[in-house]
Amino acid sequence: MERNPFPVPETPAWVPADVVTLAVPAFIALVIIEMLVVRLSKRGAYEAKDSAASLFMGFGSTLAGILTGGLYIVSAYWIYQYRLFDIGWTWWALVLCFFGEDLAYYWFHRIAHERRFWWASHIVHHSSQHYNLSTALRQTWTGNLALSFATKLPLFFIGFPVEMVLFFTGVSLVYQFWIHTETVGRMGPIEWLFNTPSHHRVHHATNPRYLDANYAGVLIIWDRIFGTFIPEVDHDKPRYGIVSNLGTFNPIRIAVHEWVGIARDLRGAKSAGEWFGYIFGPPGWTPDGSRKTSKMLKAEWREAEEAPAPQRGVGYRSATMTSRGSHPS
Amino acid sequence: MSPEILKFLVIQAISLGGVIILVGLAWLIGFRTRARVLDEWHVQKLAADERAGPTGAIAIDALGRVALAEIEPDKVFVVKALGDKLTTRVFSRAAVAGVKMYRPKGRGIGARVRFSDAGFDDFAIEFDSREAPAWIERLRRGARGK
Repeated sequence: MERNPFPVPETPAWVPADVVTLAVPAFIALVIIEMLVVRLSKRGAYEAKDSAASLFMGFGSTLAGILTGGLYIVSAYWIYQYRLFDIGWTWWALVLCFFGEDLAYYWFHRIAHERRFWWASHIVHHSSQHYNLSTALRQTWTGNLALSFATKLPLFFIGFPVEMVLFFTGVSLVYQFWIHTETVGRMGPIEWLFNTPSHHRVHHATNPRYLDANYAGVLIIWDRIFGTFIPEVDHDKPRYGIVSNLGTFNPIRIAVHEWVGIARDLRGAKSAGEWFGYIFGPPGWTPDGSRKTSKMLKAEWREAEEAPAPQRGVGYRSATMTSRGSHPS
Repeated sequence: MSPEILKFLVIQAISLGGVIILVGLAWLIGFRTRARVLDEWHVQKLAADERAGPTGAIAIDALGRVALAEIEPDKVFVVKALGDKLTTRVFSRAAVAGVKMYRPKGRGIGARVRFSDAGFDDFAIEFDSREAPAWIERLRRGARGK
């Protein structure tokens, strides 16, 4: 394959170098506003230690991003050399890139929930039992090392400028911040097209009904198209956390616990198949079925729902009933 | 120092300052409720909700910070207060990495329990009695690290 000989299109001056950094003051202001709203209205919840853990994870993720982000940037520019088309900063390219980046995010996010190798880094974001704006900032430190950017690489091969894709990645991250709240209810027709607090509460919920759903970044249409959309229902209030909830606020433990879990499982693996399953199987996979995957949990819940009325819902209320994830226990 | 590095350091300092302000505000306006394990019935209910199976012997920390319940044949149900939430987990006995007994000030006896799970901190469970419940002794004898 030959390198594309055309020069890289110049990035317009209006494109900020880092959208997320620009948004940090707004993040801080909105968290303060949400805390006050929660205090006054009792809608939603905060806990100081939980927020400290989330915010420190967010701070650490920016440092980790600086240390490991080069992997993404180098990969992006390397692939961009072999791009199929020369796409400039035109209005139609911006529209296409927005949709392309959002679709790539959907698939990254879905894989990050369905395959343990990527879940090991993404689990951090789901590890709080609270759901508020500070939870939005509870971010992974190992995402780039796990090549979580892989689904974006085809965009560079098509020919979208690296800075354009990075710009929309930033826009998507900033958009996703405000939807981590219990203080905003349903939003009418906006819910048809866009990811909203209600849709994302479902995504963070551990109730079996809501497992493996609503992976969208900005547009919820991808979940509707690919069959992963589940609406929030009033009679099943979301409960937040992971399958095996953490017993720590320690940021280092939060960042690496699932990687340690994989390593421990691999130590006990007896075949190549088991190795593969522990790394790339769904979270909760074990050769003997001793732990449960989301599919198994959901199937059990469905069975209980379909059972005669007296048995219905037995054992599915727990405040710590869990969802995605796998832990050696 | 190059302007780029200086700019980076300023941004990080502002971010860290923001974290400290937010956590301080959360603490100041009262988001510091502590969850507690109330009694054996509470533990049994949490175990049922978690579909952990019927509980055997139960030991509850004198301050309600943690509870341990025996689940047949070889499992341990743990309830641990984590801020305003109670975290519940089922561990196999093999995951109990260590149980160390000690004499806490102002209480009868305590046990420091460690599980081989990176996502779960070690914790202390203390009792007003001079002797630990028999079930904690059994757990200690079965622990890998003792």
